[in-house]
Amino acid sequence: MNGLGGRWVRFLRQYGPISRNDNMYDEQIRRSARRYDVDALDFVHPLETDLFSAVSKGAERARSIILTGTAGDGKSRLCGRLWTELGGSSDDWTANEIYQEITAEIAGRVRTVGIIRDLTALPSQGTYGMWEGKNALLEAVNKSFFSADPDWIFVVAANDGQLLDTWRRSAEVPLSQESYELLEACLVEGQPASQGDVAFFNLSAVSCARIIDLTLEAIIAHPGWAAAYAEEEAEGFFSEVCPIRRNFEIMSSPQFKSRLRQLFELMDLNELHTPIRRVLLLIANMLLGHPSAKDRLMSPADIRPFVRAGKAHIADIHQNLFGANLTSARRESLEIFEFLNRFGIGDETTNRIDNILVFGPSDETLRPYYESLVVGAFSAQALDDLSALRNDYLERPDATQEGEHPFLNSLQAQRRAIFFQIGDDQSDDLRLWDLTVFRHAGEFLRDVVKPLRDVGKANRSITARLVNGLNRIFTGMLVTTDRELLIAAGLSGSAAGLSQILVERISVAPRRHERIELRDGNLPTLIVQIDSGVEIGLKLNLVRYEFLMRVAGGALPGSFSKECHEDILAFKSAILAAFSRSRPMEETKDLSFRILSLNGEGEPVDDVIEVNFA
Amino acid sequence: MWIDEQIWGHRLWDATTPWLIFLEFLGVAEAKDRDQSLLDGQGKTYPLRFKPAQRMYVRNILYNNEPMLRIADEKLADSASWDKWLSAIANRAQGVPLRDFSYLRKRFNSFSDFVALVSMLRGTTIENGPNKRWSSRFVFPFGRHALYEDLSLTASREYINFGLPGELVYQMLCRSAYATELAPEIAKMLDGDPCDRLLQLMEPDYDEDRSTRGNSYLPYARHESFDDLGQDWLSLLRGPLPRFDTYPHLASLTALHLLRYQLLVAATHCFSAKPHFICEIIAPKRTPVRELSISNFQSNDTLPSRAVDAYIDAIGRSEEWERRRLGETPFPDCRRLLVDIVRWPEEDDYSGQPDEAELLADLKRAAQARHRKHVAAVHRSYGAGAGLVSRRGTSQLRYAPTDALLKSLIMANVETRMDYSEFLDLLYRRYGLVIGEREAVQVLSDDEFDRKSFQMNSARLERRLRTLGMLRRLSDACAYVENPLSVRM
Repeated sequence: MNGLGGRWVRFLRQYGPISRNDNMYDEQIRRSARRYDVDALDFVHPLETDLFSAVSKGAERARSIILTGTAGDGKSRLCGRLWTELGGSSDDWTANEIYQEITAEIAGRVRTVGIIRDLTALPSQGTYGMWEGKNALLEAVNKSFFSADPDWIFVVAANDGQLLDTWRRSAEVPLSQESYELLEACLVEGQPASQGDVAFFNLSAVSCARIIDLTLEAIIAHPGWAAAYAEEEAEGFFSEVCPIRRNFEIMSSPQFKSRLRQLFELMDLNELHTPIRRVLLLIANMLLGHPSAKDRLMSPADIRPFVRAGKAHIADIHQNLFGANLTSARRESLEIFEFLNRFGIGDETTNRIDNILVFGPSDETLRPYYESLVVGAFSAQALDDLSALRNDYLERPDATQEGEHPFLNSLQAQRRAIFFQIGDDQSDDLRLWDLTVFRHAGEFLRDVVKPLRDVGKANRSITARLVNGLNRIFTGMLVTTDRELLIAAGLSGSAAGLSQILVERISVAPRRHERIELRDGNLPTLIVQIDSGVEIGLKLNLVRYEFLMRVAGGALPGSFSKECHEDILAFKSAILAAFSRSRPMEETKDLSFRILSLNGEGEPVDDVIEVNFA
Repeated sequence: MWIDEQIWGHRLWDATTPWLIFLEFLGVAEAKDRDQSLLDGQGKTYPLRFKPAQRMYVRNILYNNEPMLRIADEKLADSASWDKWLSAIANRAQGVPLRDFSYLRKRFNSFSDFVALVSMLRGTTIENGPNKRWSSRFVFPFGRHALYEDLSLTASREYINFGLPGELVYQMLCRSAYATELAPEIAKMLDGDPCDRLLQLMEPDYDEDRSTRGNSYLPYARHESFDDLGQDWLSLLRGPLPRFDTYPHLASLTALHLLRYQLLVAATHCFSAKPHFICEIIAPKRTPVRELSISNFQSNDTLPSRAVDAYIDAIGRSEEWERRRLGETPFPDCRRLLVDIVRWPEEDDYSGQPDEAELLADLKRAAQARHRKHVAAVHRSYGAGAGLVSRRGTSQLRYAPTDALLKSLIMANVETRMDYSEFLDLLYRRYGLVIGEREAVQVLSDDEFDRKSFQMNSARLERRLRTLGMLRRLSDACAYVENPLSVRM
């Protein structure tokens, strides 16, 4: 177990949710890689190329650089890579000076680059190059933001919260207010500010899907695995019954990888970010998690005792992925598990799926599904346990003294496993996404996100259903209209549940200057154009999409998400405001009301009632 | 007796709701605007005299008009429907000088149009509890033609719904530092809406006979809570919300400021520290914050009654009292002093020994008994109305702000976005609300303060705001409270 394979697994364990991991900084990882004598994980950060080109000889102009993001996004590592790229030696870098300088040719001439590798750790007293004290250094940084062709540029790495905090607290330093506004615009609005210039790299803006691709690839390709196969021990580490090997093989399979990637893509579409360090934590936990192991993560030495005790199969990748091996307090404290558990995988289900799980082995029509979904997903030992439980349940389905029958409790685990087992070709047939809270997630990826990205447009029928959902919320009535958007207002403000005054109907198909369509962007966006050049957009994240689709399908708006309901009402307010700007009401003595009501088919009819104001 | 009134004014009345206080205020504002003296005290603080509108024609049409729908259902010819309804309403109408509604016929194109519009307006009636008497029902305040005073069936002044706190609010705003800036904003609330014009059309052209009202009394020329109230009104009315959407926020924040006013004034009388409100962001189980909030509520709840005692004690300590007590005829002299100051005892209010100390003790009992009936309940009544005080999830009252109140606070204080910790600090400084650890440590003693549970309390608020779409967390270290209306979709 002291071969490369064993050492690699022990090294990988350091990435997992053990308490020491909270301090797992780049430097320590390198140190522990040396201790275990394995190659550290290595992959090119998605922003590295852009970062290097910002300090290249051929860069358009020289600008100071901000590297920000949440803890674990890889700021220190990128900073170190930049240092060597600029010609610094890695020995100088590991000296761990917070402020370092180097000269390099950038944008046509030689300049000095000051690198602050951790802004918060910078003491306020101290000598930083030619500057005395933090404030003097900050002033120089500020000047570089507002100078067209600076001789000095700076690279500043800082956590996003602390980044703004530093500038907010140094009001006495010249140009700090201006710099604060510049950085806030970059960070919060993600857009360049009107004044000043900075190359702003927000590592938290890198998509989760990119990160899972890169990390999975780097881990799977690590030479430690090949060594582990060679070190196989009978009935022990990396034998056929070894859960680490089993988990590794499942994780390497295209089916599992692509489903996991879909979940990460959906996290992006839900505007959830997870840093690299947390993704590595997740992967380590997926491979090594076991509720009875020390720190709930297995070491190579644990395998043989677990196998002998018949407990090896509990280390199941499908459970570990959701943090089932951890205590609930630990699980809840780790954001990545919270994000993944928001999908509700294991708790949501359909009758069909549960029938397969309960009656699959004995029912002729269900058996093929059972064979492919359940038998394929579990180890032989786990299947034996399950079938014993199932038989017992079918004979005596009553609750035991400890609560529900244990077979019912095992269903969650089984559903999680088959969620990863159902292939894309079966996903419609078995209604795969009904196993999650987001029943329309599959459709969202396949019929909205992908076509928008590939060809720039999505199917009309999707827009029609979204418009139908919007209409139901905008009017507070169960309308069936999907070819035009009904802009309706309440008499007494937005708080009124019912909006019975029709302001305008906007055609979905292009008509004069009106149109409604889906457009690609950071997120898919529903664009409502009311006049030439006047358009209002609603960003569709996963929750909003699910919400509108469920409302279109007949659900009550309040029952799924209060937040979305408010968002959509705010969207209506934005459209109403755009209307009053673009088509101002004529000053008139006439008084008329356009009252909306439903006919028998659920179609809205509007009566115009005029009043004689003379 | 005149004690609560000298401490807080005439009067803080518990049996009302934030909406009714808001409507009562608007009624005063409308009358003052008619006199061209909106929020302009012209140097005089007392009395507040105004002539509120009554609009009995509209009120009969909206709320004393049971025959209308019945006649509409009969589907008669248009003119037959009008005839039938006009004669029915003429029989039924009350409180109008001339029971003739025939002016309506010319103004609406058909009886069914009229019915549709009346039904539409009725749909906006402000809910005010189980009271279904038609003369005490109020339509949404679209504008000046939707504002009128509370009346009995015989068209005399009623205090059931409008118990004067709305008049106090008017005087508070009038005396706030923001009065001049507020006046034009409040004037905008009175005109311009189509429904207001529609209501105007439902009244005949005539000069209504209006009575002068002027019973309210606010004892302080200036007070910090008047300025806080004015500031919130101004920022809401000038903010991005459509006009009517500000109303629920104005109503709830007004109730909150009235509650603060009562406690701040009481604290001054008792020489105690400025009151604060330890808010539990509702947790699934009992937490130390809940315990602290319950005891904080109970202590604040007794503050007004302690103020009444303190007020009476101050009389007993006064030089005048002492002079009379040492005089020839202490009891009758002291008794007369009490009658002069607090209008007590009258005739047979006091039957005890002719002893001035006994008399003072009896005054305390009588004053407390009177105080308990209404003024003592203002704290919990306005607190519940504003969404600050609740029993949710437990059997005891405590401070647990509702989503609606949180939204009002954000709308009034966050223009575009604000750092989350700055927001918590602001809630403490402006309203005395204690939610996070940084605020809790300022008001609690060392053995009460529990850092962890206040951190969790603040984390729960953060989660709530996030689900309301009013908070964005950028990372572990960085969260912003956002005004959803000024942020791009």
